[in-house]
Amino acid sequence: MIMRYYCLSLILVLMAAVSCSDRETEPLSVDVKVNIELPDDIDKTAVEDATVTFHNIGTGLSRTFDADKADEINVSLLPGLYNIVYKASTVLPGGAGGVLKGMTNGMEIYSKTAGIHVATFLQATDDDLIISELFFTGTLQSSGDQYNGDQYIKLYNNTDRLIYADGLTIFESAFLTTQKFDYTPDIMAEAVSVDALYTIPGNGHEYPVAPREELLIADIAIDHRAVNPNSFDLSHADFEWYDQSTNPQYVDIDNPTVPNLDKWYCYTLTVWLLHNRGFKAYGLARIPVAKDEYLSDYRYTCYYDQVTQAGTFPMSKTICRIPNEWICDLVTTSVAAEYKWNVSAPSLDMGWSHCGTIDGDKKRYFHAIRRVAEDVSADGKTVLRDTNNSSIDFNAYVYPSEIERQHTAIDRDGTLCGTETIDGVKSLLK
Amino acid sequence: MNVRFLVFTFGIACGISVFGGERIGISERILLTDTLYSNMMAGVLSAPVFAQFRQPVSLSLVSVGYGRQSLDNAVLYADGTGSASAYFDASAYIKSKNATITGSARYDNGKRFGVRYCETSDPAIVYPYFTADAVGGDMTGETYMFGGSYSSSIHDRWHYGVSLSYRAVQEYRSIDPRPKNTIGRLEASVGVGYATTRYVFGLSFEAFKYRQSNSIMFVSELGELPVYHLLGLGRHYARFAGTGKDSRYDGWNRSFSLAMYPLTRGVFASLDVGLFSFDKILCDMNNLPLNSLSRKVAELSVGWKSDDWIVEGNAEWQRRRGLENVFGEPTGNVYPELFSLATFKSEKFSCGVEGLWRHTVKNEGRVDTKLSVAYFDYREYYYGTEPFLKRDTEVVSCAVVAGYVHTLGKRWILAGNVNGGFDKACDWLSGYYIRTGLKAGVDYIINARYALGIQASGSLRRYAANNEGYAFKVQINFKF
Repeated sequence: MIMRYYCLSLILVLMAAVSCSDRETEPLSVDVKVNIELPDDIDKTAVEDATVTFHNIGTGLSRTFDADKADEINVSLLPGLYNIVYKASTVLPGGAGGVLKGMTNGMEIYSKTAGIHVATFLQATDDDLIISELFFTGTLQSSGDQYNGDQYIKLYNNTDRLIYADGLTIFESAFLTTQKFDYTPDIMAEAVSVDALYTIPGNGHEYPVAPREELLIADIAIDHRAVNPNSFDLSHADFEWYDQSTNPQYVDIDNPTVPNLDKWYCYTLTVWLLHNRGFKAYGLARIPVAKDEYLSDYRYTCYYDQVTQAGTFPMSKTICRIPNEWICDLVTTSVAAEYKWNVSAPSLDMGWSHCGTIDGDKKRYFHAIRRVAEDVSADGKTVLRDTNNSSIDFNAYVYPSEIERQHTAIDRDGTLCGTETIDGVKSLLK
Repeated sequence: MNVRFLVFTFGIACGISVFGGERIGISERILLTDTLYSNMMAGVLSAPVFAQFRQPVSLSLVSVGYGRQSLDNAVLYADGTGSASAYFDASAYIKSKNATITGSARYDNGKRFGVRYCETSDPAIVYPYFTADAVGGDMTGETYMFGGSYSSSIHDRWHYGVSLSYRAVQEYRSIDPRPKNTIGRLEASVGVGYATTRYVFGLSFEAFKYRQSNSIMFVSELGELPVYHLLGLGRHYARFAGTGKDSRYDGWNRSFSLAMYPLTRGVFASLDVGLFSFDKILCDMNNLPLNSLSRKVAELSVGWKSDDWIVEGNAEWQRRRGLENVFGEPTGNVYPELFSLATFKSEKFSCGVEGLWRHTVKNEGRVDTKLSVAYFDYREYYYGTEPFLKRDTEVVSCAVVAGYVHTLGKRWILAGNVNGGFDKACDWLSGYYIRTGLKAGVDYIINARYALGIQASGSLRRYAANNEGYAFKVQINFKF
């Protein structure tokens, strides 16, 4: 009898050992209310073709919901981390048409999510130069070593009027799109944090850019083929950025025949290079104050915690900031495998472009991002796409225009480029 | 290392054998054990407490062999188009008084060919949470395995048994992408039994600890490829695509079984219940716990055993439940875990009947015939998309084996069988394959204690869609 009792007890203990209950999980669908905050002067009845797209960061899948003439919708979604994009067209009080946009990134949607708020804004009408091409990856020498001196930026006058480039500032974001910290104070809604500013010189009427014409700004405006046969000629650049390095091991080359940009500020004491893996944002700004005033009044000290396996370390750094309203254009770059966030307000850029898909992608060399040619103007010139969303405004990972035009190398073996396109994708012949 | 391992295992096998000693001649022992009979009743006899009933006599075996299998096209990308391996195997089964001692050791060195969309080893265990890339390739591997068990009884009334085994695997590729996988699996089981006049009733508990470490490296100057973390039914964790080249699987299994076995003839039955769970962890992202999976299994088998025939019915139910962990916005490289979603589920049910008939011909030979029929139902779901993804498989399979063993004079034992049938392509796919095979072997009796033999087997498989394959194995045996 006692033996039977022991046996039964043993069986029960063993059954308990293998019958663990399932771990608690979220339901596979949650209902959430999305509150759309429209600009003050826009009535919801004037909103048309409105959609709210939920992009699940985990799965990579998107779902789009109709939000016509509404400032609130209810949706049912798989729990997860989402980027939410609102898009609509509207009629402005004056009768003109406008585009409404809104974006909320990194929204945690699960059973405890009370509601979602998406602030919208009227898309600004761009009336200045825009960045049409960023060649940040550089080229490779035949030895396989990377060559950075041939980086360049192209600006484009996408309007129908003459624009003077004088005083236009090219800047680089201080924050990486591949590394996110909770920076305090958070000023992203009002300004962009920058760590390099170079301004086109001039008295205001010195450097005109005709409608649908471009401006080439190079790191080193020389014929690079003399140094690296796989590179190309940039001696015809309109400007170059030049740095007086404090380290004799890293010196810049100055071509005296090409004007230099006016260096306002840079984080490095050697030479400034565009991030050659594409982890930053680059933009253009019209800064309405003098250089000295800007550098003294527009500083930003941010505080954040560096969390490592060894512990949490409080950190801080002081950089510059550019108010959003001074910014004419901004292009964000990243790589899919490492992307964490956009380092500017959604009104400046709602997406990001790339060369390569993973960190250190060796296939990225000899590639650039080029703005999509969307239309042809009345005089037969190219009209570029500019919706303040780099994901759709740019053709990513395409051959640079200078390589195409000069038919130079597209790989370390010196294979020559045999194609020429308008925007990296569309053929010139079409 | 390999030579030392071989010498070590050979020494163990010989040592145990000498310790045991057996008075029955080798030819009779081969006839009594080398049969399909011992493959039946696996649900009962796999427990260490029943080890003494696996064979009526002692027989140990040292063998070296080579096997190869190949398919025109992979049925499962994770398994590849085939494999080839050379191996050294030593196993001992020793009866000494009322104790039974078993030992086994194996070293396997080979290659899996044409593996794609899975850079992880042991795909059947860690399915569906593979780490994958779009290229794949052949995988070179080595496996070391050793184990042993001891079982005995007290006054022929109380029985007990313990077993311990360890398996280590290393798989790698020498061209990009270069995965390097190491697996360690430590398994232990313990059981007690109580014998009545006709039956032995047993209770066993088994546990194993499992760890697999994966590291993928690229050295090509042409660049790296993104790696993907698969989630089942063709989906992958998009957020971590391209990252997490160093990962590991930590798991453990616990199971127990109740069984009864007749001392001569009668009913045998077993019920096994088990739970295996593992976590997939991305090591290079601050040990990020990406997925978890739990697998619950229940197996029931009931049958009747007599001297000349066995009939057995069995059923198995298995459920896998996979979790995806969702993480918030990272701070630095630290991702806060928000919650889990049960996005993957699979359920398997199978049942079958098999019967074996054995007939001895004038003490010179023996005929074995085995027939089995099984029904198999598999359903798999992935809930991380809208609409969710689903796959159903329902298959009836059948297999037949007919074998003959014949003693030729005092020196030779000939054995062979023909086998065939149709079976499911794999657990996750619908579709059949038809298999036909032959197996033949000969043993030379050196003296009353030792025999040397060779054995060869081959089979052909034919799937739908013009996919064909073959398998063969050649093995030299030393029995004692």
